Amino acid sequence: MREKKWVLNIYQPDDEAAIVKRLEKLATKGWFLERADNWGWTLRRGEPAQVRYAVTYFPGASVFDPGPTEDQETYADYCRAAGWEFVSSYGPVQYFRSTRPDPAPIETDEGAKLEAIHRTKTKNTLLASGLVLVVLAIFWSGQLRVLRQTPLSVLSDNVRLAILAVFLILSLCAVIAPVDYLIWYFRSKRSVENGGTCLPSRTWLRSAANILLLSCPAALLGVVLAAAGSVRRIALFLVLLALQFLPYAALWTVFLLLRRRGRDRASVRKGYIIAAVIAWIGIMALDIAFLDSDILAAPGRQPDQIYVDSHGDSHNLYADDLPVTLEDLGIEVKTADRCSYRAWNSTSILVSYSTYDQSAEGEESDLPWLRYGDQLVHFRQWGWELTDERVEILREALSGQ
Amino acid sequence: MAREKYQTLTEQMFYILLCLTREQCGVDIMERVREMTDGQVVIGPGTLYSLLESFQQEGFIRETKVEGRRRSYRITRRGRERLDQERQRLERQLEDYGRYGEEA
Repeated sequence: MREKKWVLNIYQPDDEAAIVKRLEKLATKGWFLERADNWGWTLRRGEPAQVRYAVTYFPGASVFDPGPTEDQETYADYCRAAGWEFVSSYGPVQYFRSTRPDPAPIETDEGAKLEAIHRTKTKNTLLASGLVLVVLAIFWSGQLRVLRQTPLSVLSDNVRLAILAVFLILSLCAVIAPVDYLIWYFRSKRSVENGGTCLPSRTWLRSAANILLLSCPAALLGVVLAAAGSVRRIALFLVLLALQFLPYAALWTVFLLLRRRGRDRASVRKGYIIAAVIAWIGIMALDIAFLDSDILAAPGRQPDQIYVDSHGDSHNLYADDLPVTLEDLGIEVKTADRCSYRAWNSTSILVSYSTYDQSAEGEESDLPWLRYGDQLVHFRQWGWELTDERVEILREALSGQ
Repeated sequence: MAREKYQTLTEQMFYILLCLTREQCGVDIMERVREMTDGQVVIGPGTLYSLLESFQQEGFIRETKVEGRRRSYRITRRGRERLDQERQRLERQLEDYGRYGEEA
């Protein structure tokens, strides 16, 4: 029978009522909290017992501390005098346990309790949220640039749309978290000033954000995998998804290395912040590069013919039916043997459109390159003019599609 | 109506300052207040730690002795003035009760 196990901590640090309830229930089954970390709890086996747990905020403590500070030890001494034994802490979140049936609460003044929570949140969570929002702003500025330049290439690709939707949800949650906390803080402050208690920390806004975070990525992943269309695209998307966790792995490694070397809090925090900025900028740049490039694009279909020019270079030729060709526009095509006529359709849940392309491949061609779609896109080069008459021919042909 | 910090003292704030009219070790304040009030006022250790820190910042108390992690405190003149203001406020309330509350 194993003596220890690790369980995921699904609660927010200030959701103390729910945390205490869970830990006390685990204790009645013989599992006692031994150590808390950022993601969960290490529990050790013992005799099932009715014990009381308490979770408090100690603003003076930080995840960057190599060990408990003297102030933290003094705080623990006060709690021990009241019958509460210190169990573990992660940053400012402190866990205590009491075997007394009805110990005095650790926090008996709601105003002091609210102040402790606010000092901790301002120093830690709100700062981190600000950093995340800055990074997301950089990401979205890049994406809006792409959307402005080539909107159809993004809107017609389900995989790209799914990635943007995931980032939109993450951005919403990043905004909701500090807003939700500030609403709770000011409402609790008003309640305490009027002689009441702090309000429950679990609000409808936070519950909605949690549901979004948990359910939407899974649903979107399903959409993307169904729409990807090829093993290659699925693999590339999963690689891109896995890379998003790289910053966390890198930060955690840097953090553990600095703490193990016994550095002081300021050094650990400085190293962590530098690593965080570099990691997040790196991953955002990678995401933007991925989405800007054709890496996630559907692979091209097989050409109808391959033309090899005098230099030995191969060119793909297609022989699709186009609504309008250069010949229809009155342009003589002498090099029909290396002229490519290609049509393709891009479809997503938002947009479906067709593109038609005629060009002469290889060197020394004097033909213009014609590309058009549901909206006229390109017609250029070598002195050929897109006259009103030719535009009209294109419009008539396209309106019939 | 919103209250300025320490405009009025809560029961716990009042008894901590009262307790520190004599030098007292921080960790003993909880038990001392319980004795003074026959168990009517209970100060949690987290609240005690936060209030001692706040009172020091406000200048109501000062640290008098440090023996390892055991720190002793005593009220300052500013703290006594604040405590006295609170006593006067409570006496006024009692007078008002005596004047108007008995008539009903």
